[in-house]
Amino acid sequence: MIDTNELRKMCDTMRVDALRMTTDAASGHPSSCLSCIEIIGVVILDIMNIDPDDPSKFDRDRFVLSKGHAAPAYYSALSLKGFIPREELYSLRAIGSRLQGHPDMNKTPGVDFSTGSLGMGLSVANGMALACRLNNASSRIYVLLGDGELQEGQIWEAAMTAGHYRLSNVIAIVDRNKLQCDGLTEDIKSIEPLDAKFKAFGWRVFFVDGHDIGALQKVIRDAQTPYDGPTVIIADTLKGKGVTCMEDQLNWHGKPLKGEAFEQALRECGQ
Amino acid sequence: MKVNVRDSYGTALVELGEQDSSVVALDADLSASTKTAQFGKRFPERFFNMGISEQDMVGTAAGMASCGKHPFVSTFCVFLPGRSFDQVRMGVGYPNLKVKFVSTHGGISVGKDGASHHANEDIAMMRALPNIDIYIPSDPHATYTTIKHIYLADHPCYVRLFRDSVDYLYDESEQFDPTRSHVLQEGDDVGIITCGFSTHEALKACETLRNEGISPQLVDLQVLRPLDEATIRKVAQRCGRLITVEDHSAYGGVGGAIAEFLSESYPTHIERIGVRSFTESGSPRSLYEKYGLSEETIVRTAKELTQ
Repeated sequence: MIDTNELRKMCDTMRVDALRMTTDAASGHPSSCLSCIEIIGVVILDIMNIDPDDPSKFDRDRFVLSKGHAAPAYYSALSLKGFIPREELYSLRAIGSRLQGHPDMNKTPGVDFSTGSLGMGLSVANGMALACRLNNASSRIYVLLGDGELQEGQIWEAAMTAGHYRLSNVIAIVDRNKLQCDGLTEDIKSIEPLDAKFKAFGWRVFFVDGHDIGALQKVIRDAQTPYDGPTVIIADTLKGKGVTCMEDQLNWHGKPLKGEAFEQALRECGQ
Repeated sequence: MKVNVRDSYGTALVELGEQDSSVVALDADLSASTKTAQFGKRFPERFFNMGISEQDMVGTAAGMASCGKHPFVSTFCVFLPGRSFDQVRMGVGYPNLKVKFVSTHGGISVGKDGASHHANEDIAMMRALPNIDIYIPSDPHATYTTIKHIYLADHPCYVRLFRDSVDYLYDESEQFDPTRSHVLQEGDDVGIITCGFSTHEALKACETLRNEGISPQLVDLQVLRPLDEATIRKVAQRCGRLITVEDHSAYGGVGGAIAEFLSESYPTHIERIGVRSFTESGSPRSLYEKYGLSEETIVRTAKELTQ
């Protein structure tokens, strides 16, 4: 277990990375990264059994970024873990780059599955969990779901599958930042009550402050305790967390920062 | 003796399961029809009935494949790829995973269930994806051999099967090559390229044409990707005019693929026989007649082309 203060520093670096990478590429989804920096940071840097020297290790844990547009945060965490050279981060979205706009398992070391079309990650995680069960591997499958993508029907097909097959090795985390591209999830098509929905499908539900690193470390370890079914952690987050101009604001989906706003954001993130 | 090609799939799949414990099968509540139920009975721990959720089924299979399993995924063609195209594209095609799709009940030969169940677009959809091999076997022996063949591929494959039972076209005691197109009848006047259930209709048409003094060359396509270019070019060169026949839309399917290939390599006049509208309920025979896939249409088209 990594010290919480150490993780805090690494997450600060991830936050700056995600801003720099998307501004440098003049393309991408910084606000969607900022809401799940701590979630991705804690899962990849602290929790998962993975090894950059043996990326295809048989019994490794898996991570599926179902909200694939948070790829810059994912790449940043993988670079801090040693899967990707730090200097490669700025090739994001460039022609020929290993760092695609959305994660590509065949291009980027450490990426377990290709994503980007929303609503598909939970089915994939279930398939990984079933395969690992058949392989008698002790792997855990972590899947990060956006809250907006919970409007996709396939998510609930997959929620039913995980409940039916009692996939105790599946741990889903919902980045509940409450905003989607066109506005508030609850205005566009309400997804609440989320806990009751998951419970009805046979899931164990935890809540956490998705920006509190110590709380995330604790709740994920709670989610690893024995339970005869899948577990979901609903993480309360803010889209654009840490950058005043975009934090919890509408109309920032898929928009990189520019000019003075970018400089100001870096200062706010400790640069 | 008429035999169901789906049974050949069921048999081959069980044999693959016997020889390789990484083979798993998934179905979406149609396992009795697709015949994956045979696999499920023999290997219950490796069979996953995903219920009526094709998108979830394809995504789950993709996840399994990424962890070393070799999934065979089945339901009706209208649902796979129809209901689950983005999952096929994003979950299996793009990452180039070792997932094998074997869909049944292709085309209007499904019959009385009507337009909702007539998969007339599946070949067009799969053909748009650059890395999925496509097989359209026409008899039980070809089907069995095709299933054994796709097992060997490290990339995704699609096999399109049909509902009705058919006569054997290929001798079971002889080796069948699933990787090439097969000339069933030699002739010079007109080339007829067909596949799957339509091959049986085209055979009847060829008999009629021969009786009327027209000599067709009949090619059972068998594989659409990778296309057996040598055989297709040869029939074009020999006959100079072609007819394609498919139990599928005339837009974007086998006829389209042949036309695209020959337009670049040996431009040839091609008449494409296929479905050109939405359809309706009816017996396979009555549908074939009404929607222009019948022996009569093939004969008439061949006569017009050779006049």
